[in-house]
Amino acid sequence: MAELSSDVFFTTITELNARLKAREFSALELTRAFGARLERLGPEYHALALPLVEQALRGAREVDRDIKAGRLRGPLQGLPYGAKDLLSFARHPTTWGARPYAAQVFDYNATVIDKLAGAGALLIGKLAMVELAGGGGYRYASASLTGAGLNPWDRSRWAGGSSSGSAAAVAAGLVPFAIGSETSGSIVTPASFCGVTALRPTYGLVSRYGAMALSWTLDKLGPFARSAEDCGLILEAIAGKDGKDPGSAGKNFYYTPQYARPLKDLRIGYAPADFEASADPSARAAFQAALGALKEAGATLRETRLPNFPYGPVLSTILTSEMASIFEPLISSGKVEELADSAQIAGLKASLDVAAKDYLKAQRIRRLIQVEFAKLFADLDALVAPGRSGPATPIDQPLDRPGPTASPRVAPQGLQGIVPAGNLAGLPALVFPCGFASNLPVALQVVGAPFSENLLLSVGREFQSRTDWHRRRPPGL
Amino acid sequence: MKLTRRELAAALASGVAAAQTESPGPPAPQPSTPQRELEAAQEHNRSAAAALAGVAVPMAAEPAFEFKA
Repeated sequence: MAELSSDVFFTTITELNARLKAREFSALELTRAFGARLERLGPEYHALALPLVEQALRGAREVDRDIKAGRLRGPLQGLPYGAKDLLSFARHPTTWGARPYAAQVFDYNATVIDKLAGAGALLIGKLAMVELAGGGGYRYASASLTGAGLNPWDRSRWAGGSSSGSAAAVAAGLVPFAIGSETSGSIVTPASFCGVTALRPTYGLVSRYGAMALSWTLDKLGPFARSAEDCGLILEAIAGKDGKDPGSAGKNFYYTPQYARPLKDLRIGYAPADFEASADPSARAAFQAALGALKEAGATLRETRLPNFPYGPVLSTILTSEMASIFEPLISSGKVEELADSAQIAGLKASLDVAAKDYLKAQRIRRLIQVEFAKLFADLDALVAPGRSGPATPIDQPLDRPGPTASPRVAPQGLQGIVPAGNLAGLPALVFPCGFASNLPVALQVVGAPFSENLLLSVGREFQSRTDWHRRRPPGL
Repeated sequence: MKLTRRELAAALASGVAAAQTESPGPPAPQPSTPQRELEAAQEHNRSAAAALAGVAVPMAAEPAFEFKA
């Protein structure tokens, strides 16, 4: 077998698919190359939870036979990928990133795993994550069964959470794409920190069957990849009605860039403070240049602000209450003490005391939030804000209750509450790299109305046609 | 930073407090014992409840039990 060029590890799905069909290399060769790289480099970033290379190679042989026979199954056929270790893969460990579940094995696949198998994609590894997707609120990046997720751009920095391994593995070229999850920030944050493109779909668009539940009314699954176009192709494969997920919206998704509205026809809301005073000083130039690129592409940018709600407390109350019901057996049994992060242990224990009236109040406020966002999107096509206000945090820095458990503070001026707000309203978000700060990537997030994924992808696609941030590679890789 | 109920009420009124999901900000005081960790988590939940109490919700607004985007 000829050795594949290292460029192949940083190639988009569309390009890989074309090269597979042109027989430049086989699915077996591609899977073997990615598998060796994932097993060699994955542990260095604490990104790999479970290698599945052997079973992927068996699948690759079948794919090669299919391709040879002309049985083509779409752009993901023959491509290896990784899945966050909260997704069930039958008869293999699914740890949820947490010691109490280290030996857990299910006898069924998550729906997204089955859907990707149907598209010919090859599961090559389970990827590391923050324990229990951050439920309870963690203080340190080390809150994981596999250790702190290290950032491929700088190992002294955090990969972000809770989908740490999904983002790091794509950034380091260990997989062409990965699946992660978000309850509030767990796709947006690691994608921003690792400089990859990722999509948080509308709530209900992608089935969560077979995924660890943290909050039934907030959890979403979504892709991490190298471009907006890749995210569209993956979403088409994994979206759709699923009777096994009570939250399923019953909708399919078809990636249709040919019908995309051009940026010059879009009204995009933003808050100048997000790109100036509220941004980390090291990132302001990159953020402002990215905003400038959207303007140059013809987008109409309008100053706006979020409807005035205490998004953090509402989200925190809903998440905490649902989490308490889900993990009550873990907490009551005392096995919660086996978790790695003491703040998270305390957060889980305290969750049992949240009053029903507060949960109900939060869910009622959530209705109001949905109504106000519908009004906002009557005048705007999308919102744009930094993915995070600055680059990745140092690996040993306390995170001050990050991730899904937002603190009890209200949304300030501008769009700084966009992560809890967007998750409460079930809104989709596309995250894509837009520059560097202190030699680390920073990103934009574009948020739209429910089921506006094609519009968000068109914004990302046009931005990425004018910039090359998404094609940058971490040093030494 | 941890807000007392009074500070939280003031922040709600002024709309200037920062959303914590966006930036780690300054490190929080470090509770050093499991009991203090638990108390901090309980205070976090109490503060969230206090923030919710400040929002007027019309009777017609039903809980989003079966949430649909």
